[in-house]
Amino acid sequence: MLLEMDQLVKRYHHDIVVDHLSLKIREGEIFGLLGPNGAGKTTTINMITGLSKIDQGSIKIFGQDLGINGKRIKEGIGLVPQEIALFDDLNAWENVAFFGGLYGLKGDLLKERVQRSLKFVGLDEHQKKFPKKFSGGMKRRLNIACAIVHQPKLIIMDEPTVGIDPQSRNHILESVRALNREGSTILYTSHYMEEIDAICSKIAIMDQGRIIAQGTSDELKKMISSEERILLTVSDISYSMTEEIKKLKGVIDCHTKGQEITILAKKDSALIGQISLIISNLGAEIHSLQVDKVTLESVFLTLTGKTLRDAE
Amino acid sequence: MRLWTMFRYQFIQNIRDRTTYLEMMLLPLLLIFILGVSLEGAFQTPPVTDTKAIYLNEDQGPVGEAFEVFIENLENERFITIRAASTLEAGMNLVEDGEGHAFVHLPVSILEEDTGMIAFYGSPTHPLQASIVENAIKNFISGANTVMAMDTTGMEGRLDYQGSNIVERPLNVSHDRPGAMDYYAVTMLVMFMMYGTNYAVFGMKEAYLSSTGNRIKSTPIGSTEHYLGLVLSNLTTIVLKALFIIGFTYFVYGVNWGSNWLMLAGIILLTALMAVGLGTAVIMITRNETLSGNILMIIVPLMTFFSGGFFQINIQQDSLLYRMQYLIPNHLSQSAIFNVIYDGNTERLLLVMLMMILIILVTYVLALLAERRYQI
Repeated sequence: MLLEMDQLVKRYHHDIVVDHLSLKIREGEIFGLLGPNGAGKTTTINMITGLSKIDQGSIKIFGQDLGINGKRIKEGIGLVPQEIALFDDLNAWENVAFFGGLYGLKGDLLKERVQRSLKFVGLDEHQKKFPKKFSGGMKRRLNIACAIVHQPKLIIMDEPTVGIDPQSRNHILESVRALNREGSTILYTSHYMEEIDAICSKIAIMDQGRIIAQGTSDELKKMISSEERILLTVSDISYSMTEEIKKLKGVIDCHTKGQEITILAKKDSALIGQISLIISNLGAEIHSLQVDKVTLESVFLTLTGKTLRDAE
Repeated sequence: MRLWTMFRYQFIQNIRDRTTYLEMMLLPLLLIFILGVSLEGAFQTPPVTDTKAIYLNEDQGPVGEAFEVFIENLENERFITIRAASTLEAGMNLVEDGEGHAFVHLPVSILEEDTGMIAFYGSPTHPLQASIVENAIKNFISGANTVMAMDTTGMEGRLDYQGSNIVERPLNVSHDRPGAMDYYAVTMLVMFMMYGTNYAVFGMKEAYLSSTGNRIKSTPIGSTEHYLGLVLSNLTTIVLKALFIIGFTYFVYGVNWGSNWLMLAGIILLTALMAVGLGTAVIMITRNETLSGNILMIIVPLMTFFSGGFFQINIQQDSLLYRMQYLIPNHLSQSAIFNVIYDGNTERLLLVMLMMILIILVTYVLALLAERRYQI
C-alpha cells in the first residue's frame, strides 16, 4: 500500500473537519477524491503533506509513518496545490529549479530534470518568461512542472484544472495519465466529475469529513443503478405539483429550478405516466422530458442528497 | 543545500526588479547630498568673538618687552580684546566682575626672581573664553618660562617673539565632529537600511505565509532552513545596499566613516538584522502585506525623525524622551556608528550595541510567537 490513512481526525476549534477518515491508495493508481467545498479534501491533503497537524489517527506513506519519517517521505511526494503557488519574480525555469533544489536535486541532474519537466508540461519554449505573463492554463501547467521535477512516487493534485480553458484542461488530464504511465501514483481531487470519471482508476466520495463511498467508477455507478434521474420542462410549475410528485411511490427527491423539475426516483416504467398525469391535471404542459443515465453526478446526488455544484 | 536554494532564489527575487533596487540605492545618495549641502551651515561651530583678556606687565626686562610685542600682535586678532590692568588686585577684580575672562601677570624683574613665573588666571564662569586666552598665550608663556628657567641655571636664553602664531581653524576640519554631509550620510544610511524591512515583509509573505510558502513547507526543507534562508537573503540584500552607500559617500562625497571598519561592519550587520527582525515581526503579526507595508512606511520616517535623522534635535539628558530613544532602532544604530567614527564613549557604544541585540531578539521572538499562534 502506497498511502494508508487510518481513522484520521482533524478539528478546528469545536468543528470536526475530517472525521475518522480511513483510506488506502495502491501503487500505480490514479485515485480520485470527490467532494464539495468544505468536505475536508484539502485538509486531508494538508495532513498528508505535513502542513496540518493530525489530531488523531495515523498516516503511512511508502510504508513509513509520516509522524516519524516526515522529511524522508516528503522527498517522494509532489504537491500541486489548488492555488497557483509560484514566484512571480522568478521565470519559469527558475521556479522549477527552485523546487527541484528544495527536493535535493543539484548540478546537471537538476538542469536536466528542470528541462524535462518544462517539456513535459509544454512550457519548454517559455522557460525564460515570468509567470505573470502566462495565461491561467500555462500557470497551472507550470504549477504541475514544479511538483514533478524530482520525479516523485506520489503526486497529489488538488483541483489542478480550476478556472482554465478546455484545451489546457485536456493537456493537464493527458499529463496526469502520462505521469501515471511513467510510474507515479496520483491522488487527484476535483469538482469536475467528468474528469474524475475519465482518469481515475479508483474514486472516493467525501462529504462532511467522511468517506461515504469508494470504489471504481463502475462500482459506484452500480450502487445506484436502480435509480434514475428524470428531467422535465413544464409550462407552469406550482408548489402543489412538486408536492404531489414527491408523494408518488418510488420518488426519492424532487426539486425545481425555473421551468425545470428534476426528479430522482427508483427505476419504474409506470412512474413517468403518473408524473405526466399530475402535471396535466394541474393544467400545465410538458415541453420536454429526459431520463438521464447514471453518472458520477447522480451517484454523488444519491449519496449526499445534493449536487456537487449546489454544494459549492 | 536546501538553505542555499532558499537563500539564492529569495535573493534573486529581491534584486530582480533592478529599477526599484537602484532607486533604493540612489535615493539615499541624493538625500545625503541635498541635506548635506543645504544644512551645512547648521553644523558649523559659531566663532567666539567676545573674548576679553586682562594683563599686567610689571617686568621691565626682555621678557616684559617681548610680552608687549606679543600683546600688540594679539590686539590685531578679531576674536579677542585686550586690556591692561593697573595692579594685580585690579586685574583679579576685573576677572571676578566678568570684565575679563582671563588675567595674565608678569611680575617685576621676572628674570631676577628665583620663583618668578608668568601667572595665568582663568575665569571659572567663562571657561571657553578663558581657554582661548590660555591657548593664545600658551606658547609665549611656555617660551618665556623656559628662558627664565635657563637664566636661573646660568644658561643663555633668548625670547624673540615676532608676529601672531594664531591660526584660525574650524573645529571639524580634522573630523573631530561630523559636518552636515558626514551626519546625513549616517542617518540616511540607517533610514534606508530600515526601509529594508520591506524585503522581510515581501519575503515572508511570498515565501512563508502564502500558498507558495505552504508549498515550500510541503517539501523536505526543514522549518529552520526555510526561515533562515529567507532571513539571510534579506539580510544580504540590505547589507549590500548599505555597503554601496558607504562606499559611494566615502569616495565621492568624502564622508568620514572613521577607520574602525570592522566595528562599522558589525554595526551595519546588527542594523540589518534589526530591520529584518522588525519587518518579519510586523508581517507575522498582521499576516497582511499591504497593512505591514503601510505600518512600516509610517514607522520608519517617525523613527528617523525622533532619532534626529532629518535634523538634529536637542533632547535634555535623563528626560523620558532621551531614555525612550534607546528603544528606537535608528537612534541606536546612529549612536553606535557615530561612536565608532568619532572615538566616542566605549561604554555607551557597548550599551547601544547591547540594546540593538536585545531589539533583534525581541523582534524574532515576537515573529516566532505570532507564527505559532497561527499554526494549524
